[in-house]
Amino acid sequence: MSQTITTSIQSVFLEQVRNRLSDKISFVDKLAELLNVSRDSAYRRIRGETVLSLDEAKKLCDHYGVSLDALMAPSINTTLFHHRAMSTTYTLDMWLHSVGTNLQYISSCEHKHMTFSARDMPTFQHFRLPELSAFKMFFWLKTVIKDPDYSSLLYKLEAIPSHIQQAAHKLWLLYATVPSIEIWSEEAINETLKQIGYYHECRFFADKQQAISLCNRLIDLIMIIKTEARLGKKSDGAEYQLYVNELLIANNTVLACMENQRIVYINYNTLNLLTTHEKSFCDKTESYLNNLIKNSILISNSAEKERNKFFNKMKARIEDFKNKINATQGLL
Amino acid sequence: MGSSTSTTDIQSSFLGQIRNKIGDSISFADELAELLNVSRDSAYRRIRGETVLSLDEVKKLYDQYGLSIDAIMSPNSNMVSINHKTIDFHYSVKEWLNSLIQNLELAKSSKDLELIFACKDLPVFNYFRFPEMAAFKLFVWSKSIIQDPQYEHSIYSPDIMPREIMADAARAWSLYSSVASTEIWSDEVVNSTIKQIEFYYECGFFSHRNQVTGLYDCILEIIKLSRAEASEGKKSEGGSFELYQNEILIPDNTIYARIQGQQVVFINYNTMDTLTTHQKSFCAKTKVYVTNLIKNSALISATAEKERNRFFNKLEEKITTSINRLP
Repeated sequence: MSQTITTSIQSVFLEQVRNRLSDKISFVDKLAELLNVSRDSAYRRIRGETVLSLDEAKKLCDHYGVSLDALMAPSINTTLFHHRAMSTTYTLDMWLHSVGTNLQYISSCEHKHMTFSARDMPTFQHFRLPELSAFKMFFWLKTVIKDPDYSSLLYKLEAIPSHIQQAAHKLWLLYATVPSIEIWSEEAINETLKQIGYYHECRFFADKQQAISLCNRLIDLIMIIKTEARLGKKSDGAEYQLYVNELLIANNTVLACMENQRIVYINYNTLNLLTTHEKSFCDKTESYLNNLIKNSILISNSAEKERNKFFNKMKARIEDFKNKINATQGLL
Repeated sequence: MGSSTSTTDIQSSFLGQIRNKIGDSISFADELAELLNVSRDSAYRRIRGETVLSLDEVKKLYDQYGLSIDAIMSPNSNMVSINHKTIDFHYSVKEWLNSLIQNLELAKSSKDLELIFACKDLPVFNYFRFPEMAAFKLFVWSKSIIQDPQYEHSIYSPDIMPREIMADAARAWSLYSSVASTEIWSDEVVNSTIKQIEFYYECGFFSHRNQVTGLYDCILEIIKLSRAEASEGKKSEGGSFELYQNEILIPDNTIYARIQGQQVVFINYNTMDTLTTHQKSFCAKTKVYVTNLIKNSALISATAEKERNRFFNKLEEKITTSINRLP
């Protein structure tokens, strides 16, 4: 059943695979090995004399991260993303470890930079203060992914094992070494306030002092960030630029740029991370972020008045929220 | 060579999905023979996995039926193939609206439909109920996000957008309103539009203060209509409407849909872009996410009058606060 018609898409596909190989490796040998066929059969596939089956195509796609959809419809922009979603099976521990590996890599590069468009305050920032860090993680486990181990627990710092706390704190330390631009709006604290309010109403705090104390830590955190914005430096000394955006409350998107490489991380619906290296997607994200910056005000290193207005507004909102909690009756 | 029955699992699931899609009324072998321009016998051999489909043949079927091959090949992989539509000069607001309309029409014609919106912002269709509001949203996107040079020096006016685009927007609203949906809103859903109005006002992109108050009136009217629809459990064009109030998270605008038995997830990215995927495990994880979100949310349509009114009152307060802040 040998078909001798050269299938054009097959040759385009194999060419794409060949491009992912380093020059040192023989394409035919690699193909023969991956498809578990003879060298001769591999040649016939390359020459288009033997039809490549979908199952064989899959082996190559899996190995080299090539998208067949993109091949079928080049006009439609299909991008392959790596997807990590925290769940009861892909645990917080694994998630932190995996993000840590990424940050470690970025941090180890000589030239590195991250642009963070942050609808919520960048997660790493919360990991600076143990109380906030524990609360965020407790909330994810108990309420978002509904881990059964947490279903009947009330919030307390100790509910999060110390090795997890340390792993989270390490993410902040790594992030602090990378020169960054962050783009926020004053809405960046809304989600955390909502979550504190929700736990207060559900009585998932042992007493309302816990809620008050979390609000105080949140104020501490934005005051620390305010100082860093004034200096234009993160705690580790890496350059820090903070922009305020009033027009668009964006997604949580990160563009990381290293020597010869760019990576986009989309942090969507809290605990999902979509990652891609693909050039055209990185290009588009970069131009979107540049446009966002054009519509924003730089409040680090300059613009003292704007900076104070911005942080004071958030602080006032947290104080306001705290007073509301304080005014609720009784201990709870 | 080339014929093997042992290595065609994906071929058979690919053809199987096409068979499901065309339904029973047409002979699958005939359809396949015609599309691939082969004999009926050869078509059968492909169905039985005795002949390997070439990638060129796969493409013909792909073009005809639009099934994602990546999704079929790797239903459970961590690698997700996502279709990315960017709104720019090449893919304009007009095309964006057309693709919305197409998807809604498909949803409307589907017998077995599940449509869940997890909303950071009010589903955009709601703004298309009123021409001046529709014009404002479309103008902001064109001017500030796409940065269409045509609008670089323009300021807002209700007739700033071309008439056919306005007609498409109105059509998108009426289709959306006729389709059943489950929606999860938080009290933040109007924030970004309020911000846009305030920003444009401060930038002097309105010719008169009346325009601003006019837009606020529109939003108040939209909230009023939505409140009534939630109370009925039905949208004005007849689509059933299940509304949940979410107090715990601000999701990214996400739509989970099951249309004609096929799952799809749309994620709103960078304001106007859309990420779309059919991959099974990704869709399944998104379903778990929205289901968990619903568990933490209160149903406020057709029931819970007190909660519903508190929720909509809060949205209204946000608008009036912003009106009072106007210089």
